[in-house]
Amino acid sequence: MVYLNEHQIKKIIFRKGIRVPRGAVLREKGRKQGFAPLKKLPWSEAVVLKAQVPVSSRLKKGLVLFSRNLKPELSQKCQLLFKRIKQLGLGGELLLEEKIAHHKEHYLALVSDPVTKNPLFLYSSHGGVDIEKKGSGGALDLEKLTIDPWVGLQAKALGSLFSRAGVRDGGKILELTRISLMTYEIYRTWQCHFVELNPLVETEKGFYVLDAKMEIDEDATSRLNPGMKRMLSAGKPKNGHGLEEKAGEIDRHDYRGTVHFLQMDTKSVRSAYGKKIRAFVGFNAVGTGVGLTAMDELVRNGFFPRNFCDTSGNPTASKIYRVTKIILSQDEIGGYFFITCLSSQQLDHTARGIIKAFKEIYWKTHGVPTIPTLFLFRGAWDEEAHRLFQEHGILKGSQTVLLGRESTEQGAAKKFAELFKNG
Amino acid sequence: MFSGGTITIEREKCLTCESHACVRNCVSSTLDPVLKIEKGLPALARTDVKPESGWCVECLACELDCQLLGNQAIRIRWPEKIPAQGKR
Repeated sequence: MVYLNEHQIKKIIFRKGIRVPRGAVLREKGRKQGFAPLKKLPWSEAVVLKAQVPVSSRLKKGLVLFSRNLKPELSQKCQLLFKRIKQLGLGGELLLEEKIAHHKEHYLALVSDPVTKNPLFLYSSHGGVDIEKKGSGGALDLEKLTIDPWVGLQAKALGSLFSRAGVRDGGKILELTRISLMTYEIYRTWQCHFVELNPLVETEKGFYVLDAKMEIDEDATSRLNPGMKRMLSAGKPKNGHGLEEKAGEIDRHDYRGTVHFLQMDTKSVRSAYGKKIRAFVGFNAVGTGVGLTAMDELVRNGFFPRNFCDTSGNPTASKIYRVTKIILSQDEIGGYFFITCLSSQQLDHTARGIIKAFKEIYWKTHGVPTIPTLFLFRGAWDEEAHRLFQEHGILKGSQTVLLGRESTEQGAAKKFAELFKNG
Repeated sequence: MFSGGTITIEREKCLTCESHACVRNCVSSTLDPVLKIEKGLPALARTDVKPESGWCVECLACELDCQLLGNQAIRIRWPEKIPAQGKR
């Protein structure tokens, strides 16, 4: 999935004739003199500062602050927000915009429904934070409309939906219909999975979008025009050392097998599990199912994956080599865990990829890992894989173990824990 | 190669090699070998197909076997740079 920052989404929305608050994007670099107030607004008017990061519930997490349009106060709050963004391990910008006084919040979204395989239009007259608790009886109160993509979103159907949702004023129904049709156009042209306007607020001047989200189908980005693609790359969240992007490149032009690599947020894990964490581990699995089961078992033993990685579908040894180097280049890892399902893929290829990576990374020890390492090979050509590990001397260290078909995920996790005890 | 990597063979080193380990496990060898030994040196088995077409399945066996049993004449590299920061 590809995400755009809020300020980029608002630009798209504004171009479709939907009102958004006036604002400006602030970057940290070259701002030693502090942050200037918004020129478009009167002096000391209330403004909102929003961190442009892909994090939900920003208000609750202190990533949205309110201020007055005055330089000292604004600068102080900007610096605080930049500091909080850095603490999350992200790079980012701030959106400074006018605070809009409103009397009612609405919710409007379009989502690709996996059940009907059609776009689904969602509306609630109770928008804002925690919308799931705002409806009648404290429950989620959504009006839904499944859209036939050949026909598109119809104004008539929207009129009845808003009436059902309790909107009585004809002018408001017309305006909401116009906004919905424009949002559907954005959803289609930007190849979205999900577009959300929340809150869509009612003011004396009409409707304003105060916050919006967009998720774009990564597999459909080739349909976007060059301008749209440029906007996407500008909005890409910077994550650590760009390891996910590097891993993404492995599959980009090579259809032979898959490499899915995702880094975990260690800060959230630390705050949730604290002292229960024995170590973060580099993780690779052949098969997502076995990967999830193995991660559960590892966590039970106090080992938290630093990443998730699935290398299945019979990838080439070169793919395995490249992703293994990426996994082991992560910071904070105290061990490495590799597991396969009872796989039909050629595991001797997989083994060669790992061996080459280990020989390059641990060149001082001729490929013998210096951190607790467990390999579990089960499936086609697994005996050949075992032979290769022996032949290349990867298993010579006391902290390395290779298991075979007789092992289970639970047993492997326990064996891995023993390696840490011995170490 | 198809993935964008490059195979380099320092054939001077192969002059003294007796193992010819690079062709030992060339995975396609039973069907359509990529490497063959010609006049005592490794060479492409066919000239009408380029390895970057996907003919080479990138099993890395030639490089690993050459390292283990041969004269370390083969190097396979990719252009990307990966930061070396993990625990070593």
